[in-house]
Amino acid sequence: MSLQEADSIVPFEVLYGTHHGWLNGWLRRSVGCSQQAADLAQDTFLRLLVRNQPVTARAPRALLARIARGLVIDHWRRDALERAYLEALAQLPEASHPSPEVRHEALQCLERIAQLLDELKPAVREAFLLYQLGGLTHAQVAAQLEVSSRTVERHVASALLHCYRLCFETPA
Amino acid sequence: MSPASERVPENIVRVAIEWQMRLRDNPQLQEPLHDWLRRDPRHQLAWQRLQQMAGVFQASQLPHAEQSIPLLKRASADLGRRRSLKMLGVIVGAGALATVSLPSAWHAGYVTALGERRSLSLGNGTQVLLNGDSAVDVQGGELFLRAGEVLLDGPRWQARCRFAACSGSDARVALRERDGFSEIRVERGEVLVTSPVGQRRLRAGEGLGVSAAAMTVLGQGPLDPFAWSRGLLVVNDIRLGEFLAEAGRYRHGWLGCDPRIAELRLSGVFRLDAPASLLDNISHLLPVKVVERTRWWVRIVPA
Repeated sequence: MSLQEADSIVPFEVLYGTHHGWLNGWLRRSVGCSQQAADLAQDTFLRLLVRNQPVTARAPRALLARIARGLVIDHWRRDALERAYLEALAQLPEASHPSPEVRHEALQCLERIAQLLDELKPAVREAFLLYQLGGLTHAQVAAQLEVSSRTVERHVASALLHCYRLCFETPA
Repeated sequence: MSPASERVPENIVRVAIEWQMRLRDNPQLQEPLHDWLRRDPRHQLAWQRLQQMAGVFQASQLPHAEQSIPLLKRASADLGRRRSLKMLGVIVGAGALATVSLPSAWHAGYVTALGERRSLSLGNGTQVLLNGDSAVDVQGGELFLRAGEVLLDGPRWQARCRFAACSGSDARVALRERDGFSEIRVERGEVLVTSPVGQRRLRAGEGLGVSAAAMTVLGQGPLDPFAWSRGLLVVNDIRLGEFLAEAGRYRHGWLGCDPRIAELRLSGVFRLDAPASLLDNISHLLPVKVVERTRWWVRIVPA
């Protein structure tokens, strides 16, 4: 491939036609379900389309795989939350189960939080959750986790900074 | 929350975070905080953004903290495990089912998600296939079924399930953990089953249920116990209630059945990789309809 070819812009239809089958297969191996793989493949191309930046012939599959990998992880996260949520509900009497709409909204809120805290170390995440969701003071969190109050403050501050960066400083 | 273009220097964001934490401990600090905010528009921007972000953690639709915190912890551990398992799969395997070869005496745990199948090799020519939502450990060439269902196929292998130890000779055998007992089904070859309540040799076509108290010979049920390994759900004259419980093992969410139709019977061959069409199919086969309130909340009712 000459340099000129490598930098030439590939029309979306050509990109779709050439790589859709490959992407579909790649996703099927990742998620183990052909229907979900098909959904995720569509989603990947959709992201590419709304990104509205021309795709050059240089490694288009690497770009597709990068977008798709993010979507697969989102998919696993949602899946893990749904399962954990359904299991938590199974512990409760059926009469106290919330309506499907409420569950749906609850899961969306949980997903947003899980996404934000994804990259944090478990100890930091736990301290932050107890402080932020549980409403405990630094001292109470410290007592529960058997660490110093100063450590909890540091964990909470670093978690907040991490969330801030994700929300306001990460390119879409 | 869309990322706004203006970037606030990190030291300002850190101070704003410090203020937010101090203020929660001591509301008296409102006054000095306002002084700080007035000093620089970037202080205000950082502060506003933090308040906006706090909304994510205060959403009224969130379940109680006692429920949310353990749930988030669990889900995050699950996600971490999947990411690392998948990475292992990417490095060593290709094809529809990643094959992982294990050095013997190495302790390894494998889990599958709902709807996922995974194959591994025990060494000495024994192939293992995990059904969805299952977990196994491998220790020194022996397989331990911790949850779900597994198929073993090989010249000579050892496997343990909850209530029994199995030793196969040139055998293809499905092991499944059920409620209160372990189910053992032999498709080919011979397997010796040992448990505290006895010992029994099974041959091709035979099935055994082993509980803490007894060994019970299992006749041919309405369900082909090996079909899942070929990606199929094969049923013969099965109750709809039982069918849905089985189908529910391959899809996400809650799959309910109106008791008025739970006794209807059906037979057929269904593809496991298309759980949605699986439900469409039953509405063609039986006088029922599928009420889908969300993707993971489905109920089957009389048509």
